Amino acid sequence: MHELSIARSLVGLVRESVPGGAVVKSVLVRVGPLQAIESGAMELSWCAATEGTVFEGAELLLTFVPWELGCRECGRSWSSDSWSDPCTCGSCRVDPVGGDELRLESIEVEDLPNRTASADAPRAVKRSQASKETRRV
Amino acid sequence: MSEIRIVQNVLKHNDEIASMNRHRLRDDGVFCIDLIGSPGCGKTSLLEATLRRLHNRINIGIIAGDLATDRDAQRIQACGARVVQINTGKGCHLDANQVRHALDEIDLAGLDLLIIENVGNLICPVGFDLGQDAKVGMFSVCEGDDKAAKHPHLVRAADLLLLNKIDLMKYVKFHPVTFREDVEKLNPGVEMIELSVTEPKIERWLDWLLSKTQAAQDETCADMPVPVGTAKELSDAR
Repeated sequence: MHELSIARSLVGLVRESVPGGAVVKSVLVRVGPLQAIESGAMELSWCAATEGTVFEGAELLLTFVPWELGCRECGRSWSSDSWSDPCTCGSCRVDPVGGDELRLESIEVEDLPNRTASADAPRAVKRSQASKETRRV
Repeated sequence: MSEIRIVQNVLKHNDEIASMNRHRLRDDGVFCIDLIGSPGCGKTSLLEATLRRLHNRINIGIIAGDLATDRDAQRIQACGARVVQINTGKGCHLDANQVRHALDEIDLAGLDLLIIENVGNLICPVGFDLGQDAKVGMFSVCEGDDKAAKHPHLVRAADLLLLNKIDLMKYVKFHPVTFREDVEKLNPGVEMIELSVTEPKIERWLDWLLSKTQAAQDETCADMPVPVGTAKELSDAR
């Protein structure tokens, strides 16, 4: 359950990265296969880490990237969900490349309303939403 | 709605504190390893056997991470080592900040080698830099020959792999060729040492430790980047 430590760290990074008063709608994180992150555990951890903070209710979007593989024999490179794929040339001498990224890519925030309009407006409180898992194909 | 582009390592703060730990350790010429393996693979037994053999030759400190109890610390202390126990409670891995506090309790100037025994877990500890010089992944034959394939993160991150309990190979289903082939695919050229702590058959491991410890003492830390910010600032920012 390293997801909880990662979620807490992510909250700290988001806090540093957005201007004060900004309402965060979503946070996009890119996850390599070596991080062994389970999307359900990450979703729960994100909800727990943001609960009671100004980021409660912000959506966590995870982009799981596949393995990048390179064949030592023919030089072909391709993406796969498994690190142990043989190459189409028949070679099993295949190197996994990278795969350990865990990067905050972007944060979507509501545009700051002008001060006169928002001064007395109550701050919207929103229940935490389920994180959305995206998979690049 | 507007988008703020960041592109930042999520574990940035951990990595910054790890960098400070690394700098402190190198300043004092201490070689540091992070020992990662599953519960029961023999990490603490290996440390006991290592201490028995090396405690008269080099000064060794141990940081022992566990969910609960100080049993490992007691076992290690009985072998004459300086030991700091970190109980993580529900935490399944150590992080750089916990190690930073543990370093405060150790006289680093009097040490040659620091071994951090991580919480027994093949997955969670791997992504957290602690400030070590080398990550050592430990497996045992009783766990099965598919464990390297099933835990590519540890195998890829390891600077050295240990395969323990080889004296039990005849009793369990473990094909060393399968295990080695998976390791070689994931981390080509990584050094792997087969050992048996109980026999004991750990000479290659001891040689590796001694040579790395000596090399660390010979190195200067002149080219180490000095991290920005004090430890307290970084800790407060977390």
